[in-house]
Amino acid sequence: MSTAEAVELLRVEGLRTHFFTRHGVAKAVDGVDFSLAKGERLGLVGESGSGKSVTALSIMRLVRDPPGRIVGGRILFEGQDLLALDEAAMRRLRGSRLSMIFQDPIAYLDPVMRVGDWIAETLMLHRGLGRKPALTEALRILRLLKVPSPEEVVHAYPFQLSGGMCQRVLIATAIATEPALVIADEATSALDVTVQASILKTLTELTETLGTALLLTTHNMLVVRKACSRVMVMYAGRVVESCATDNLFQAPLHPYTIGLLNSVPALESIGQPLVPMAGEPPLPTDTLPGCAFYARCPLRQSRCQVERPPLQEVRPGRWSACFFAEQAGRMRHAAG
Amino acid sequence: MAVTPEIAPVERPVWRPWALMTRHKSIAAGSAIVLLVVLMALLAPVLSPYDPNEVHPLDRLKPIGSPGYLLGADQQGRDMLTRLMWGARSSLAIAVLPLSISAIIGLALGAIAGYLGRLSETLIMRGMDVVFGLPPILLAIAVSATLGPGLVNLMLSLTIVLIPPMTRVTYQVVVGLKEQAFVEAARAAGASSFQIIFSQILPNSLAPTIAYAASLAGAMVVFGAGISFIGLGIQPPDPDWGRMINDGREVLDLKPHVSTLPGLAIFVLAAGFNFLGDGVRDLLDPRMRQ
Repeated sequence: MSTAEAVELLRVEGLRTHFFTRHGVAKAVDGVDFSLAKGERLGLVGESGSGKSVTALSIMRLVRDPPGRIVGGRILFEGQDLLALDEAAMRRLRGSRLSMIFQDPIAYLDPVMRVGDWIAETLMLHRGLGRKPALTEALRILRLLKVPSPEEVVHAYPFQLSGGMCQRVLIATAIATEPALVIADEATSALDVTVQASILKTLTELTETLGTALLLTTHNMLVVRKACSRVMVMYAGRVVESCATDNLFQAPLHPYTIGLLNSVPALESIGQPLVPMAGEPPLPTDTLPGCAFYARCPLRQSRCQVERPPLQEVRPGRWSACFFAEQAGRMRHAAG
Repeated sequence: MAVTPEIAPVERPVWRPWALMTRHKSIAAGSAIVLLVVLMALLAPVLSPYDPNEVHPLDRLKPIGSPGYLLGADQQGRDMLTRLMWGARSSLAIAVLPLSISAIIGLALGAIAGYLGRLSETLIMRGMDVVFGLPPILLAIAVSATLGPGLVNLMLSLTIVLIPPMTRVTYQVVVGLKEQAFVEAARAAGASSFQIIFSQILPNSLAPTIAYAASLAGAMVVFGAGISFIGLGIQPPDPDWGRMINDGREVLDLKPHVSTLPGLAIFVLAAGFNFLGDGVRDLLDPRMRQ
């Protein structure tokens, strides 16, 4: 991949996270490989249930057990395998070297805690600061995030702030300790479009100045386009396509990606009707021997039903899990 | 980012007790009543016209408004007003102390059982079920039979009786809190279970638990008076409202004031605590402070 020469920060190998439910084993993440370089911004795209959030939670080792459990794979972060660490060592990493931002900002803040204390608590925990210096530091970070009147924001309770403001507070908490990796799980999905844009801008600017890597999961293709240099598309617990963001939007090489792009409004195709994808993703409890996208795929052949296409480099820097990636590439042009 | 249109101006929360009083009428009414009784109890040595156990055989059963006896006298000629003032002390102690102690214990046990779960949950909650099975009156009888009757032992048995409901209320709240997003966020920030219990779980379960405790204060006044009425609480000749009702029982048809005045006092104090309890519930919720 293009990041091979850059310093590798995170490498996920064969990650498998399963949920053991009454209805059977749900393979939410079933063999995901990727790597992330220092300071890189990687987007993880997919519809609900594709496994992108579970991938994010698995890296943090915050998958709720029971019912979820990481059943296989390795997560190498700064050279050490996170899955081999004990709980105390993992706790020291969370919030200091790798931190997380969530979808619903107001719900992810303690309702009876002033937001200044919330930010300060992480600093007290990982930097060993006292309450006073931690609050001063919280104020400095809010200024860095260009929050208006930060002196008043630190004294506010979450319910007194808007959703965008709460998300800024969560971002401040996440970056307070200058972690090496920030995982943003649908961080902008609950916000309206203008706020979304300004939050994304803040996030990208910050990761650039601090040299922090960003793993952004989202169902929104446009968010990825705005914020990420590289993108991975997930479907039914596996990565189906991985490449530089520009390449993905110009010439996708997997029929699922093409379907996703066709169902998103774009300026280039004004006047043309949106093409929604037919069918539904398979149930996570289903065990399919072949390609998970088979039932919805316009390019399917009998081979796809019995044999699973591996994720392979079909062109330099372009990875696709489709036997007919080249045909898929031509298909997009035919449609556009 | 010159313009950030989504940011609403932040109102810095200010603690304004008087504004609260005028907004929440029940707090005003409740605290006025409770404050009156507290003052009565505190100032009893100064304000009461007689010693509470001073007997005046010639003035037995004087009616309300007799000269020298504003609220009359009981069948031993003791001043009713004096005894009501002194009796407020035990009623207040019974209402406040067992509740506070059991609330603290219940918060700790409920938070541990609810958040940590597993073995601690089984041990604590099943243990509570056992104590729950004891009828409060029977427990009070057992305690006074073994340790002897009296105010301290009465409060002890009340504390034991109150711990299970307090623990259960906290437990229920904590089980709900545990699933909340901000607890997950705290875990994602690297907090340990005990740090989360202290920083997130306890502060968030405080309001509902205290509200529940406050709502029980009125019932405790009535219950404590009941125990003293049947003779297991405050012992004669010490003044207590429940005890005084019992004293007046035999002359209820002829001189009703001996029983009804302490009864009225119990009613008023219980109502005061109930008003206050309702108000406290609203007050402790930060969302209501606006």
